Amino acid sequence: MNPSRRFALAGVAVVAAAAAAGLIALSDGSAPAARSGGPAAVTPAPLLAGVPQHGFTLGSPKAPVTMVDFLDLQCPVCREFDQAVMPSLLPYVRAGKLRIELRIASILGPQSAIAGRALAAAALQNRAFDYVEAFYARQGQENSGYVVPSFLAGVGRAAGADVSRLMRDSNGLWAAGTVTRHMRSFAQLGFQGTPSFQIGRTGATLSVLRPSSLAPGEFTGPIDSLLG
Amino acid sequence: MSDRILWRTALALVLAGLGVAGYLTWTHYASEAPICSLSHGCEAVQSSRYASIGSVPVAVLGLAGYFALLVTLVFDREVLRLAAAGVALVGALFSAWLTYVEIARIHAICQWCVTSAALMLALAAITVWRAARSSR
Repeated sequence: MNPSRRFALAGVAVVAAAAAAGLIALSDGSAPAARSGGPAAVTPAPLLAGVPQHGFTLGSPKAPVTMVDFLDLQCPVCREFDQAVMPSLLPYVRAGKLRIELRIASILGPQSAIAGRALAAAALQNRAFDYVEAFYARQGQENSGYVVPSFLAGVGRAAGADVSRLMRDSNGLWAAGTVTRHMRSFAQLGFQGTPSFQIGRTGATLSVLRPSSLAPGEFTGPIDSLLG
Repeated sequence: MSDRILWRTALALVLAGLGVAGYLTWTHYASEAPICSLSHGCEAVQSSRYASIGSVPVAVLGLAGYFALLVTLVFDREVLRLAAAGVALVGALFSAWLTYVEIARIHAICQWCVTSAALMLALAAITVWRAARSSR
């Protein structure tokens, strides 16, 4: 190989390495959770195995305590709540003492609205909580463009939903109307961020729960109090 | 090995790559799970957050890369041999990263993605070889 050719090839290699590094940075940059060492599970943990769910409700409808969770699927703190607190709440749910209701608060942008409609569609198949788990396991950076149909379909598959039906329903009027109703309720309660919570005796007026942190005790304490 | 054999081998690899990347692009936009012999591996990888950069599916990037390589092979000029080496090197390095992500972060293997990575690695070797030999 002559020197000029060697020089040209070396230059190409340097430019190629720089371009690849840029692509890798972009790829990694759209995945902050993985970069920070967060779990990158691809299938939802069997967290909800055996727990009854219907529509947006997890647990027995006769449970004496109800907690409402207003969430945005793109919200990293909502994901943190799911990982840090939900495992401590599920024993109450399994014991028939607590039921958890989801409300969609798509406040982070148009992609949150798209994700919210998919969640509403999953609720039609009684897979809302599975869908939340599967979405959080794949959650990317807010509004980075990852909430595309194939992503939503993949989440649906992981959640065990009928994907064709889910994708069809997520574009339907019912899903859009449901998100609008949940958002209206969110606004009426004066909430401004997610996750936000209400808690109370089932059938009675629920109170706003304002935890000071995502420590499980901030949630199990009020539940224990309501259970007396 | 003659340059003709290298060219033909590269062309075959590029056509195979176009097939793989084309299939993955189709599954992406059709919201279909790729056919995968490893249980849900392809689906897990394709629905992961690494499957797109922003709103651009990685499969589309692969398709563009293979198409660019096809153009350099068809028009096969000196400067295009260098360009082919550059494109294939970028593809091979990025594919290596994605393979690492599959193993270390997603904990799932997509056989289509691994196939594409192997094709791109072979193309990088051939195109660099051809670029280095071309002025002899």
